Amino acid sequence: MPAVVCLLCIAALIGASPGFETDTSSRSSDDPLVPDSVLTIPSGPTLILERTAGIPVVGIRVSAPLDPPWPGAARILVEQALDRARSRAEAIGAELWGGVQDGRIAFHAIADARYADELAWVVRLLAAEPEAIGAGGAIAREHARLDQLAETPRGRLVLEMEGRVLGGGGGALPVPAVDDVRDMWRRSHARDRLRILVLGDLPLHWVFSDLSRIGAPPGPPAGAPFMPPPRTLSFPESPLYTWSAAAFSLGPAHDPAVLAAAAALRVGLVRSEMPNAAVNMVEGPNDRSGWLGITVRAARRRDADAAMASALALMTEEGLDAWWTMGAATARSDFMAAASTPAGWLALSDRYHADDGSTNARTALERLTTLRRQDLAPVLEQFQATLFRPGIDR
Amino acid sequence: MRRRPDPLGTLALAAIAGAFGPLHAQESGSGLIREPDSPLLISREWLPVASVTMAFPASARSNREALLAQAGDAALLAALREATADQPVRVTYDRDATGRYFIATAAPEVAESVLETMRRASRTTLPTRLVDEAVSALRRDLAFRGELPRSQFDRIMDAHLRGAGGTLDGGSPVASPDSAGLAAEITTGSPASRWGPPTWVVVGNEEAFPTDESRAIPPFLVVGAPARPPEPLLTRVPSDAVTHWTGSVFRFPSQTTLLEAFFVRLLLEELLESRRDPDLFEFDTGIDALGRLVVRLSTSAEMSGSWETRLDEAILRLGSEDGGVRLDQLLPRVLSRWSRELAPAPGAGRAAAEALLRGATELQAASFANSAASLPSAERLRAVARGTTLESRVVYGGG
Repeated sequence: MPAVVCLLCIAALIGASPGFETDTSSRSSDDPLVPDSVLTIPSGPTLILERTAGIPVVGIRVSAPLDPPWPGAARILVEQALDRARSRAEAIGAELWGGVQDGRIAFHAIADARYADELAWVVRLLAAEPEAIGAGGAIAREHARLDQLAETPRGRLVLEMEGRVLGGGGGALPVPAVDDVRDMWRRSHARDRLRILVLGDLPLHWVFSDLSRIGAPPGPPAGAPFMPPPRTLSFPESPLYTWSAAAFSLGPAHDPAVLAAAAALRVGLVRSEMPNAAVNMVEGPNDRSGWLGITVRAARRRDADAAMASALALMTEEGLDAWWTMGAATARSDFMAAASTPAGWLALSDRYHADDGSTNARTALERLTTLRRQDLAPVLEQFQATLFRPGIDR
Repeated sequence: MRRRPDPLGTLALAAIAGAFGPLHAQESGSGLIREPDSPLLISREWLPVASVTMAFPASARSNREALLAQAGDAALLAALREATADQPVRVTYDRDATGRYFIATAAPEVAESVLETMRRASRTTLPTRLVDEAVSALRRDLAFRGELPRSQFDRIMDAHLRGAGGTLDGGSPVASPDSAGLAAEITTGSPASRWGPPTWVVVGNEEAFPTDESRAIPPFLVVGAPARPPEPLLTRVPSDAVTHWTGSVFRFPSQTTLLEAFFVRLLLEELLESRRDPDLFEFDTGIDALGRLVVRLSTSAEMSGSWETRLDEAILRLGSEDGGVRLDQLLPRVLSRWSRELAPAPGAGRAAAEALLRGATELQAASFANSAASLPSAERLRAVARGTTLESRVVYGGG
């Protein structure tokens, strides 16, 4: 539908709907990697629409900022939302997913286009306020997850980095209470902070009527969010092995050079010879404050140190020289695989959306396709600048 | 509704069509017949990425053939990935009872060069280095998994399905393959010279393949298996495996279309899943190259008989009028599964390739890849389920 007609429809709808103001913006594109329309509704969500013809499904993604940056609370929020929506989604065979991705709490639901109305209902359930009833199970599972992670050196690295990168200090963030989860929902799911992405052959009035009023009332509650201090982890010394760890921030994960460098590092670690030591990569959430970690396990300290030194040597231009082409190819290949599916299209469009329109999935693919070796230099500098060596074996 | 033609995509697909000449229309009763080694082109109005599918028929003659295909395919996949490493392309591999599929997901503007790269690879002898790596990986895999009960059962079922006449010698452990022999055989010729010209499907974003909608497309029937000596209804293969493995082969009624067969299979999967209990360890369904429904179950020893009965009842229930409510409840789930399968270009390409390998014409294959728009009715599916009968069953394990 031409953009002009879209705007007329919007204007008509806005006129008919007292909740909407007339201040909307809209763009239009013919590139499948650039959404047709981006509509910003005052005191309402940002609607990112791609009207498709000839594909038999409808996909809807809702994403909200991670506010406060407390992954445990987000995990419980997501788990409760999925529990609420699961049976309705199963009834229509919808693919249902929820998680923390690209620094946002996100959900998607995808089903046959015949079930668009039911799918909207599923999405409303996903974005609804979490209830106290039923939260106990999700909280218990989060306790179990943290306890389990704290039992291993690798898990300890995950907890340390989660607290450090997201919470601002070392140590593990505690398990949130029911009220903390509800506070997160009020802040993150405030209607004017939501992004709703719709992929499908649907009329605009359908999107407005079914999706524009989901989430919490607009405007987050006043005041800073509550963030508990991280607690220090105690860890028994390993009687058998020496462990060593390093971690660094990824920087903006929507930057294709970051994706390529991380992929190159992954390939380099797998292919490099590290005698007498087991070297593993640990990846934090792939988001704007994501991180990568390396753990080394060896029977002797000197073997662990040598292996870690080899691994860190990869984080230089010379070190990645042999692997960067493969890293760039992997990043491109991952992008293509994602773009070919409705779920992947929604995730990429969400990841590369910029309010000012400066980035989108197309610009990311172009950057990935034209990536040169020297583009990785600033990324490696960022890696080096944020390098952190947590103690995980005592 | 929009979409302005994408000039790059148009050029690419026009070039593809040009490179292989027109799809020479060989008139038959049921539509166009594809020229050997030329692509079926399917257009999608909305398509962020294109896909190129290269498919070979499943190798079903012997265990050694299967090993050759496995190692050769791994080497070919590695060669394709190396050849496309500098392009925005992902190459994946999958196989089923009908075929072996190499699927490239690519930006529309490079689809032509990807197709050319894949064609070249299929016609060239594979590099010795990659073949050696693939054979070595296969040996490691066999050493690890070759004698597991699951692998033995799979070989027994494969032998059964290819009509071993009840001898079922395929269950014997596979000797570690002679690496040099396998590698030498793989490198004697190109993949196309060994397996025949591949089947090609390109899913692009323009009107590259003009489907004549005014013309009725005869439905593609799944049944058509050649006459064979009848298998015994029940074959028991004792072994000391604790888990019971049951392979059941069902025959669809005549006049069942491929799409109806797929839907009955998916409905059965949903029904079994909804009745799953801890005694059902895993199950798998498929439609073999002869158009038969094959269901493999693994269960605890005590519940093996019960699950065989439940499987037969599940098919009866799908077909019965009383069970109509159940079928109607399951149908939306299956519709969404099928739509999600066909929505991405690689899924549509793979579906079309499978139909072509089964002998469908171009129009029938393209129609199958776009079948989410015109689905079979519940009534018709009930009728197909009602006419589906058990042909043979193999039970393995339990001492």
